[in-house]
Amino acid sequence: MDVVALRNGCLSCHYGWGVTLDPATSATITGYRPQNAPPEWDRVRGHVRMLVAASADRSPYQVERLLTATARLAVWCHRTGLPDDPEVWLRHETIDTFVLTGCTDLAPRSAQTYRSWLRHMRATLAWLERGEQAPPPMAAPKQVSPPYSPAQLGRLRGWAERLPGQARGDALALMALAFGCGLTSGEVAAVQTGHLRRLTCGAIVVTVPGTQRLIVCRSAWENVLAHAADQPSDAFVFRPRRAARHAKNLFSSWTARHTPTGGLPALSVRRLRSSWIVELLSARIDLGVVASAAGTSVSALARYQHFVPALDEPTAVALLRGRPDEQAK
Amino acid sequence: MSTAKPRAWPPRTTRARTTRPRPPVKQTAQIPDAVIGHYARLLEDSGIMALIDAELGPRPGPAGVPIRAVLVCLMVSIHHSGKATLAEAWRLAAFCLSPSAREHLGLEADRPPVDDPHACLADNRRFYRAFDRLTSLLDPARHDRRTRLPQHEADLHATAWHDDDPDHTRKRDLLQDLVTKLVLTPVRWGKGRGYLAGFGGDVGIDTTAAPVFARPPRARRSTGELFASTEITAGWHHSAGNGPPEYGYSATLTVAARARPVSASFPQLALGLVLDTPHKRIGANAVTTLKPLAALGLPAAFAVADRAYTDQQPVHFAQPARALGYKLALDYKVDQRGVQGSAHGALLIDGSLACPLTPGRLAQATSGLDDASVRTPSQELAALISAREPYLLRLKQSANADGAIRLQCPAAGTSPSVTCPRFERLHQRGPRRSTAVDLTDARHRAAHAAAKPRVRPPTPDHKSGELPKICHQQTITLHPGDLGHLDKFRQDLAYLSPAWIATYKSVRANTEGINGQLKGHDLDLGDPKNRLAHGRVAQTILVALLVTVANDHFLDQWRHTHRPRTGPITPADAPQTPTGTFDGTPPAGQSRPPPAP
Repeated sequence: MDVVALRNGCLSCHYGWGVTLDPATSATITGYRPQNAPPEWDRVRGHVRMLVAASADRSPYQVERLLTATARLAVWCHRTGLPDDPEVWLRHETIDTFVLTGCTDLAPRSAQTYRSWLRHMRATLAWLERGEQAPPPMAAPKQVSPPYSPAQLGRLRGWAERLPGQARGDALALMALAFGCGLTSGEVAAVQTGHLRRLTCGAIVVTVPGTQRLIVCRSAWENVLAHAADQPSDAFVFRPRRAARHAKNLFSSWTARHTPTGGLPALSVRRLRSSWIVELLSARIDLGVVASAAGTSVSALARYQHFVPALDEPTAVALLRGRPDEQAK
Repeated sequence: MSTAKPRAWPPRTTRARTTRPRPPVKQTAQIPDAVIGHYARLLEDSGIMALIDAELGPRPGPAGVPIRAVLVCLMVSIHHSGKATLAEAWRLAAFCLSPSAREHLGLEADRPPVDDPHACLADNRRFYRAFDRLTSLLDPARHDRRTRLPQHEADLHATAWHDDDPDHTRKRDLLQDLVTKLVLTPVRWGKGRGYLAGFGGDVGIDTTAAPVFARPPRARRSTGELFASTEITAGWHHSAGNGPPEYGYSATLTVAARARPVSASFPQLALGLVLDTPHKRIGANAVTTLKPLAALGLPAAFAVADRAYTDQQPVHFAQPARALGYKLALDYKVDQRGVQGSAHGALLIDGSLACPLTPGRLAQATSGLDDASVRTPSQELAALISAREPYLLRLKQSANADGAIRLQCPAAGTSPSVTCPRFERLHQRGPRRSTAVDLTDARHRAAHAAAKPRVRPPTPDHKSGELPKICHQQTITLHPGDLGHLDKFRQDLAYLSPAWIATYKSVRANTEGINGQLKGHDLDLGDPKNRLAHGRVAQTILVALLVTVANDHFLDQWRHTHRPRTGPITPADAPQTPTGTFDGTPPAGQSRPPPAP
């Protein structure tokens, strides 16, 4: 730490701190290069790595995402003539102008997500506001995939069980992972049979690569995953014949070739996960547990609330009244 | 074994003799009377004969061949063969015209007898003397045009072409007046027929070489004395390309160009012509071509010129062109790009005044860039050019009678393009109450104050008394002399912006296109053998006739290609039926027959 006296009489204090990252994160940051990297990347990559390395330890977001957003911000700043200075990049007005004019190719929610990542990085690294304007609020519609109705889910399972050969296994695996476990599409694609673990009580626990949250399959779908877990080889649960974890159009190509009959809607991972959340909320499970299992915040569950059927009056009365032993405690 | 020798040549039979190739016999084509009538009417409609007759005045002796007949025959010769030579014009006049056409031109109805060389020579000399009468009349420096004068003597004569002597000035102006009237006659016709309805006023100005057949100056080997060329005011024309220089004159041409995609089409005509010594009075000649256009009722929009015109002093080109109502789109040399100067604290960046706090990388985006980088800008350069636009001062008020304009700070006004803490401090504008941005509304997203670049003044900022005028005031008034000699760089479009590219490149393409047409296979301004007459006056008249006929061809081609609907006819602009007894006159009205094949 050192203190410098400025010409205007004020004291300026400089201090620094060190962060040591784990090898995997370090390798990710060091080896990162944007897809179709622009020529300016070589000029800004040092600062981008420095920013992400300094903030990764305190950020809840994945380091790849921070790299993506920071690299995009840095290149945009360079192209708009701003100096290659991280202090300028992380000013409120720079982030806001970047989100409003430099992210027009992104969906509004994605742009807002970029803004959240960058503002969190700023909050981690920049502690002073030197003449910056208050950032304006930004709004984008919250779009939630509507869940399937219980009747649709039952008929979809019946349709899946009548599919021939490998298609049956894929359909059931997709429904078990997305509707039975609430996994996102990326997580469904990553799960292999080795990630399935059967507890003594019969529950199936899924260990998704890259996440630490507790994921337990719903009892109605346990037999599907149990059958997959019994497979001798460590293959992917959904479409086990593929070799790559991420494949382009992995789900859309499958759903395009396997269209449900009888007027049923096509299978969608988002809708299945949404149905899983709504089912848990309808079962009046604790919101914290649901949010933790879904990998989201409790407030984010509010958007699903209007899909949850209201309780009938006797049940509501009973819940509001409570039990005498609870009140005594 | 036979002892007979093989014959080296086949026997000469009558058949072989008759089928032997022969030199082509000079066939004399007859010129249709309609063509003669058309060009005679063009000459009458130009009004130059009245000026020539007034200058000529009454003279004693026989009248000789009418000058009008010589000029018409020259135009017909250009029309048929592309040659503006008196020999070809006389041949047409003597052997290719019908008696009625000869009478209409003021010539004797009877042709000179072909088998009488003396009569032909006399007729030929009369024809040449008529043209000499015209060139001698208009020449401010009469001298022997067939002799190479000593250089010092030629220099004395050459001063008559640029000195301030009233008589010389009057003759030069008269010659230029004749050229302008000739070149603009097809333009008036096109305008009167409504062909120029789609013309938006964008013009391209360029200089092209008009080489002469004369030899350049040289020193006598024995004495070392320097002898001038017979063309005493000609010089070496260096084109922008890598080609060798050409000895002759420079023709300044102004072209009706199309800068933006417009729905209506119009013929790309030459709107003005000035012939001058190469690389002399470039800006002044351009302005000379622009001046008559307003009187013709043509609109004025962008005047686009190459880098030779950017180098002209502001009083010679930029300021007079702006005074005529034209906006400028210019290009710069390598050492002229980037920050060029300042006025009232605003930076002059590539011809546009900008905020003094423009980020350095934006201000210097084009500094030192070579021509190849500018002509095909990289993605990075295009992004920097685009990012520079919000920092440019905006036009608040167009030029007043004195040529002064008002420019507004980009942070001022109801729709600022940047936000500026210095502006907010000096003008007591607190930060606006931030409204929520609807990210789904693209227009709202782009128009929100947070989407504008924020100017970054130094920390701590300068005191109020030390700030430039553009920061103290919301607008500044820029007088023509405020930028001094740098005013030559100022232009009305942001350099290399999409608007500039759409304007500059389109107009330049039109300009080079008409140069190519004037130097093509049909008419060739670049071949000195097509203009053999000596002297600057003769060359000026012949080049003017070439451009006039070219304009007439452009009109015809455009009419045949586009088949325009008949528009309103302005009686003063439309060609009128001559009131004579000439039988070959084409039918009057709103159209005329196509040119003779």
